Amino acid sequence: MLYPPPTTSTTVELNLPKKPIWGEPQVPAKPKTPSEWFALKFPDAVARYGCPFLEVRQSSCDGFTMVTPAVLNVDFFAGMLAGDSKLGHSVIYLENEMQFYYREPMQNVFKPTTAEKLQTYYRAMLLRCAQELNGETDKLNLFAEFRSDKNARAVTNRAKSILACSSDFFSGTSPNTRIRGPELHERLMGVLCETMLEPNGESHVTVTQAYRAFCRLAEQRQLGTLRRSQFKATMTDLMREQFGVGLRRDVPDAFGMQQEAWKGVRLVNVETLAA
Amino acid sequence: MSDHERRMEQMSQARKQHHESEWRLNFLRTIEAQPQPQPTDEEIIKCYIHRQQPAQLSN
Repeated sequence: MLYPPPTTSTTVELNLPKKPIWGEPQVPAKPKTPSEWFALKFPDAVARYGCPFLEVRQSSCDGFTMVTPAVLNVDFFAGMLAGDSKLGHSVIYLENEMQFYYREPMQNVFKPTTAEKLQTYYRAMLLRCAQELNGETDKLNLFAEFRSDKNARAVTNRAKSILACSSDFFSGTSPNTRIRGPELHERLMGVLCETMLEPNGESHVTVTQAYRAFCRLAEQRQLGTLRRSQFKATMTDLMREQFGVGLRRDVPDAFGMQQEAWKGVRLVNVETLAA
Repeated sequence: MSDHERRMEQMSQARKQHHESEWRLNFLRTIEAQPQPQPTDEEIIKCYIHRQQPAQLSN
């Protein structure tokens, strides 16, 4: 029966890549432990949330060492899910919608993703770490324990607080854009106010006229439809901000029927609708 | 280093980063009806080397 060589020393370590000493030639650092591997890949997350693993180094009398990642730093891995800024990646969690979004770097738009997909990404990074490291690393925890559903769920649950964004992250005035979010409709209403409406004391714009113009603009941009009630609510605020007028319900139409309209504003530049 | 050599080096670096970026993003993407068009070399260099994001969706 073979017995493992007796261990001569066991130390618990928080390993991070060594900083280059001044005057030393700059060579790309080669990670020797799982913590170093993740620290080199995600320096921002390490700077913010600390060392990825608590590692145990066992040295035996025959001169070999074995590094075992023993405990996971959940905060680091939740922070890692935020993405690599060098690659233009960004992942956020919109609390009011309870939804994760990631940024497509080529298009610079945010798209929705799920906690389960983030868990798959987390597991893939652990597996890649295990595959790329040398034989001095005990890979059992990397492959099995840390990739378990329980740990993966703990990481994405923590990410909900670490990556949390306020509800105005995608607001109409925010530089952040997402695919077909409701703020696109709000921005389009802003465009409608700025380019197709102008103050005019004698005129008025009915809600129906404005809504039709808006629907044409939305159709041109393939944004889909917005309910008239939602349009009216947002547009009322925008008209007050832009022109200082409120919605009135006593504006007579051609048949003398009262209708909802904004007085003192007129619709112009209608030909751009057809363009 | 000549312009051509610099360009080739940038291209090589940008492609490497693009490959890494795509590998990671594919875990987060959902399957779409139409696949994304492949970016050109210029777009890859702009995105990963010069970090110039394309213009945002304009309304």
